[in-house]
Amino acid sequence: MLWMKNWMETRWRFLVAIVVFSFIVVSSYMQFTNSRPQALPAEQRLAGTLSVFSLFFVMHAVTLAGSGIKTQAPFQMGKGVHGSMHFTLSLPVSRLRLLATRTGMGALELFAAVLLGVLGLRVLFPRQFPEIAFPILDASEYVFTLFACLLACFCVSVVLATFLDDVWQMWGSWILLAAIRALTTVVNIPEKFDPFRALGSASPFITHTIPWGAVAVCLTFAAALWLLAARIVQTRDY
Amino acid sequence: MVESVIETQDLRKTFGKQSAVDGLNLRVPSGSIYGFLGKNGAGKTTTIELLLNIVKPSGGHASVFGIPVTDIARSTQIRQRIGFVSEDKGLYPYMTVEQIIRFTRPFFPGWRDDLERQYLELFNLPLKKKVGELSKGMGSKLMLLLAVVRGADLLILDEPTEGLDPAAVEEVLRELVSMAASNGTTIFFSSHQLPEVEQIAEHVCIIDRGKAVVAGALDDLKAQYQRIQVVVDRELNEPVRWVDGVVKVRQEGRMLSLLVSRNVEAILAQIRSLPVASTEQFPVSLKDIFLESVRNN
Repeated sequence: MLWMKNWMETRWRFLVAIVVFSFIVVSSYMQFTNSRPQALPAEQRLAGTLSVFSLFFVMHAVTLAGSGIKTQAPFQMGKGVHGSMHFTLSLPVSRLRLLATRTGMGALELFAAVLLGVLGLRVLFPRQFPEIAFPILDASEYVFTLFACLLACFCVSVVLATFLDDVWQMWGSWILLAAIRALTTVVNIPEKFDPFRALGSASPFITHTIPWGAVAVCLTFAAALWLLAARIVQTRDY
Repeated sequence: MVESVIETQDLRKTFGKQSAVDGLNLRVPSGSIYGFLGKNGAGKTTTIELLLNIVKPSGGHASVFGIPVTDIARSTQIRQRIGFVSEDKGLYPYMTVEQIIRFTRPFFPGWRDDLERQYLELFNLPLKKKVGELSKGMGSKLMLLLAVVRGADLLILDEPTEGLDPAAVEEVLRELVSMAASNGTTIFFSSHQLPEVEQIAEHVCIIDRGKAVVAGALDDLKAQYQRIQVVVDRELNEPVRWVDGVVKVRQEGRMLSLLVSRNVEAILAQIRSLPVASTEQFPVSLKDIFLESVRNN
């Protein structure tokens, strides 16, 4: 039943995420129909394009991350939304389970958005980069890599959702992620552990392998953030 | 000795420097209807939130069914036996009435289908309508339905009749009394409607600034409290140092109005030592006790 509740609260966000990304893919497809020959090598251009698309995926990760255990009405703080959290907390369900089902639903939606998004890219890219092959195995590895990296962004947003409202959760996530990105340009982290590189120049579409180092970093970071969110949810007042 | 369903000892909750509950001691007997009264901001809702572990205590102890409310592992056991109506009656606005009933039912093994049907009919709730589209009164009725049909041993109701029309209020109060009488359900409810409390409560606690200022069986309190009205021959030059038991004294010219909580004979003897023209004793209502108790503080 909690899954049903969470789906009802987030389905519009999910559908909007899918529609927005589909629109971008379709419009890109149309735009590149008559594209001229490019000066840069195809792989370099592909890395840049993947980085740009990954920004949209990060946006979805932040919006689908949800609301901790607060009730989340579809795109509004409507009637009774705040009060209904007390109704939720009066149910015989632990706060941990509430958080787990909410983030579980968000993660499933994110995975579906990633899967559908990468399918779209696989239709778009052969037209945009005819000189590169896009085998299904690379696409699957890209789905895995992208999802693992996005889980870290997702969990940043999950932590912020435990104490911020919807708007600040989103802005806060963007600011934090931008700060982390800036930090990685200043601090010299080994290339194989760099998640931002894994979404661009070291993505499986280019290297034909999963960037395990970056994936491990992201999954560890995500797990640590989720545990932090669980700790906050258990101890805070609502 | 009657078992307590809710028990608090020196319960405290502060938000920053603001103290919302300040050393509250409560004992709610099993099977009783317990009225929890106080002005706005007195700490009633915070106390209820503490009992449900929605907010965490800053100090002291609270237990429900003998289980400490801070025991995270067993807190679901407490909530499985509680029906709750929150102050703002907030429910999920995107669900229909039917969906929210279907959503809530599986959490409570003791769910009463017969009561569900009865209350749906009584409250005339539109099953297909979204909760967010219901009027305030209808929202209150739905929340009451979701609380009472759980088959709970304890109902915690924060302003349960707010937004209801007088006919519905009467129905609800009658049902609450019947639940307490027939099922042994304990009902702990807060209200600003003193006549309602007086109508159904067996025990009351009046809370002010987070402290219980009056608590006990309503009949005992009403027997114990009296108003003594005294008219003196001439204005008193000095204020009287009253013996123990005088809760409140109001003086208007030559008339003194005393609210006493005990020690009536000694107080009457003290009155006789004054230049008294007349003395009258009156029973007091819950409203009198409430107003004088919260005014004192």
